[in-house]
Amino acid sequence: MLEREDILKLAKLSRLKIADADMESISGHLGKMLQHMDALRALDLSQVEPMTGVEEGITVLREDIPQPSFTHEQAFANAPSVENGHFVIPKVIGG
Amino acid sequence: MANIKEFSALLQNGEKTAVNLAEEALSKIESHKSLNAFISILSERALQKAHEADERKKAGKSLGALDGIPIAIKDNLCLEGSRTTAASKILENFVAPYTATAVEKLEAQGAVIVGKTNMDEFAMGSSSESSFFGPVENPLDKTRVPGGSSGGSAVAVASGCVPISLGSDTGGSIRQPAACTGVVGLKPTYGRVSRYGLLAYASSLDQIGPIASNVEDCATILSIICGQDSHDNTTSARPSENFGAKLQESIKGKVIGIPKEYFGEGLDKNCKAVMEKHLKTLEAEGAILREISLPNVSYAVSSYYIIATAEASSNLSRFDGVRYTHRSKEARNLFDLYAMSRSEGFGKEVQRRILLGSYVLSSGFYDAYYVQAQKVRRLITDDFTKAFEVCDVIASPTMPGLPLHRGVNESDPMAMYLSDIYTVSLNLAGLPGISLPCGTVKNFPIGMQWIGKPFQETNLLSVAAASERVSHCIENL
Repeated sequence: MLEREDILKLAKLSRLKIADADMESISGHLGKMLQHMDALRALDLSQVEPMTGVEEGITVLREDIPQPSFTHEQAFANAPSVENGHFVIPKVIGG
Repeated sequence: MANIKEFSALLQNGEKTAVNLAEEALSKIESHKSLNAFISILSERALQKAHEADERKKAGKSLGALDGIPIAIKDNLCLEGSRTTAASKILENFVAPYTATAVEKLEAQGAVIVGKTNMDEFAMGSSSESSFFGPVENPLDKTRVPGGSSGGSAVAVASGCVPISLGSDTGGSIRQPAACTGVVGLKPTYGRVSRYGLLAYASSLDQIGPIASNVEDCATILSIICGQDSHDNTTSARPSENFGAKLQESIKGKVIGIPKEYFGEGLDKNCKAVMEKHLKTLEAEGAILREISLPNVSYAVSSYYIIATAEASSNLSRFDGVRYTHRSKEARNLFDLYAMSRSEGFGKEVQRRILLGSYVLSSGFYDAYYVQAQKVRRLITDDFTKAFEVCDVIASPTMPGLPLHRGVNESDPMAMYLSDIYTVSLNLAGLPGISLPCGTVKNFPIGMQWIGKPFQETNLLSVAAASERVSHCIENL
């Protein structure tokens, strides 16, 4: 079971806002998951190399040739707020 | 359920036009609306593409077996100019600016996309209940889930709306809904199909694949969508091949590995009996059954959920209320803009997985969970490598029992996670796998999962086709 403070910290890291009403169910759910995962923590795997993916280990390279890309209009088409070719966000400097 | 060959014959002998086929598919989608298998129906676009296929035929310039055949694609695959939501509120109005490579390859062969299918939000689920657009219904039994996350793609085929659909599979999301609805679902080897244009869930596990009514159609589609892509540097340089080349080959002499860990505790006894009978039938056809061991698979679900949620927490950070559609109207500062837009836009399951992903990646827990899960991933992969030294393919259940009843996910999410117990290992090891019905229990089709060696889909599909040929032999238990 995770404490309320733990959930709030995770929510901050995850850029999520958790409603007070959901706190208990989230804590219970994550607690169950972590309990299940604890079996892994008990294993001695000090001699095992972590595996990050299943690729064949070859770094694929290609010639760096400029290609047609999205236009400004296409790139901004799904943005909720745009002004003069820029994304608009709330003010971040000063009060 | 129809297949490519039947549709293709109708077009060839002039009995139907591509426009007829598209109209029929659209009308079936409409009449099966209550199944909620589709998020977007692309009537106008489909009829235009079908018309173009008919014009090509008239001019003697047909593109091949798929020209004019209606298909459906999962709504986490981008299609230029069409809404692509991943079944999430946060992308409710997102219009894709480009088309996914796999989809582009199908369209280049003349396939007619009739709609985009419903799914678990961001492919996170095994029940197709977490969609912002409402749950998908199982046409075989309304009280049970259709599996997930590609539930809409499986139901679109099972209900006869389309002969083929595309899904994506991160931990079983093609194979598991195929098993729940009595159809065939193929997850190719990791790297076989480009993921470009697939909305990412867990990039080291995601793979696109077909759902169809038979093995042959899965082979046909894979032959088209596979191949290296400069937009996805994890795609293999291996050339495209005809994966259906050995479908008629006998199973005689093929060694089928049967993992003792997969047929023991946790598997429904009737499902087990059906699968054992099926394997005995194949043995009578000349296959050699050999018990094998995958000693670390009991850790697969934990390893999978650590890795998948860690990658998801990173992948989904791009949905920030700035670049993609949904933005909270309440936010007054930048942090709130991110947090409120995301919490309003993501459903509960997605938020839970992001939180879990942040937890296992956070300082103090990274080594204990994330690195440990990566080490287990290697052990599981090594288990398969070793097992394949003594067998050609591996047989396993796709699911531990019949599909779960609706609503179980919300009350007991662990039950849903554990329903992936036989499928997630393949994603961790990057192996190809196919689920197809091998008999029935209480009139419900039971999915058998066949697991192949990496990049050996031709051999895998050869065994799957042999299994398909004798699947009618099993009585209902």
